Amino acid sequence: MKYVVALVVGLLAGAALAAALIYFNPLTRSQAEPRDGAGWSFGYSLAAAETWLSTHDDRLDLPLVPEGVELLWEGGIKGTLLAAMPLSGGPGAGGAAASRISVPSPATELLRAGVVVDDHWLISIPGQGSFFVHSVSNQWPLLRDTVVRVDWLRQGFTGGRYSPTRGPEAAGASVFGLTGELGGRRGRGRERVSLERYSGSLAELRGELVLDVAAASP
Amino acid sequence: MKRLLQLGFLLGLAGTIAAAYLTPFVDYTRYRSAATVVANGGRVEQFMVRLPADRIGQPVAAPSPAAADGGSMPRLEHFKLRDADGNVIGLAARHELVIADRIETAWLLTIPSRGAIVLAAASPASASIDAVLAERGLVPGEGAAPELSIDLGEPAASVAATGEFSELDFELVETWIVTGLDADGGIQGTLRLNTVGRQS
Repeated sequence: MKYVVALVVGLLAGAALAAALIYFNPLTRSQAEPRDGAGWSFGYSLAAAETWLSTHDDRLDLPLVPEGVELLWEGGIKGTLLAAMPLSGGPGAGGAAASRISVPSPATELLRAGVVVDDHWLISIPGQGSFFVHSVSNQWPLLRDTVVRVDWLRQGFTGGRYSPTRGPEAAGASVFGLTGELGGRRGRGRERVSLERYSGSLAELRGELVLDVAAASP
Repeated sequence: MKRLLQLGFLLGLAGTIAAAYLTPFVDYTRYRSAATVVANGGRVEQFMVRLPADRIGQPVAAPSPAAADGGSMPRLEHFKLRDADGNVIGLAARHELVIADRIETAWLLTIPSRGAIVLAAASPASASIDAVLAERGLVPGEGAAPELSIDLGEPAASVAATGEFSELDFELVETWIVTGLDADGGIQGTLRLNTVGRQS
């Protein structure tokens, strides 16, 4: 019996050390903050009052908007997030309208990549046109500080700022002009998000897309 | 016993790290692609949206300060996307903007197990689905018998693609099969998205 106990204690101790290493793993931490520059900056919020549409498979800590919206439960789309929201800022600070489809990536693993999400943004600026942003993000630092730290480990949340963008290009997200005067333009960008409070919901998360479109060549 | 403790420790450490690396955290149902090869090169694949069942939320006519200054309001629509066999395989977003006398349409088709295609088209303002249905005399609450089949506007061309679509250029034709309008003017029927992909 004591041999079994020794083996189990060893297993638990090893697993605990591994979990701690994964929790503090520097390889999956947040990326460098994007610099403020001459590019465009679009702000958004995931609060129910500030989104037109937000739906998922009901496993995310995000509000469903509007009430009774169709859930994304089918096997081909389960785990994805669809949202539509106004964006503040942008060229002329006139704002824009955005659709966002976030797709958890099979590249997810907790040793080197983190929780990888493919973010697809379709953004339209009134009078100017539409453009597309493809961003590969690591959401592990945000999930570690909220779901793991607060929900699972029952620790306090102190607020945080995150820079999740890690691709698909070395310089960050890819930007493609689609229609209107934005058609044919190319660029790159990064996202930063901040969360002041967390009590089981990410609805208070605020984000910013920092895009450098003008400097890119077609 | 000390050896067992050490063995357990190493097994727990290695097992947890291996699980963190090897566990497939994401696994989407992948249906067989219904693409067919055409004689002049390229591959044809049809996606479809059943209306109103696959519409997610209501269309958004996005208000914004810029729109108040004279730019038209973007119209945003969101759908579940089905393959030709009727399986839900992805999500689609459609943005429509009127700029001068043209309708600028942008499509984002995202299929989690395969990738994404982003397309753009510019058509005359008279080519919006609402304008076409009004021209055909269809009013809210009315059925269309026989059903209407409408190829809308100019074909859209792909601007960006990811995943397994990334090496292909696509063209997309929106075909609206309209069986009627509900009391609020919502379209009932099927939206067929016919794509032709060719090697870039």
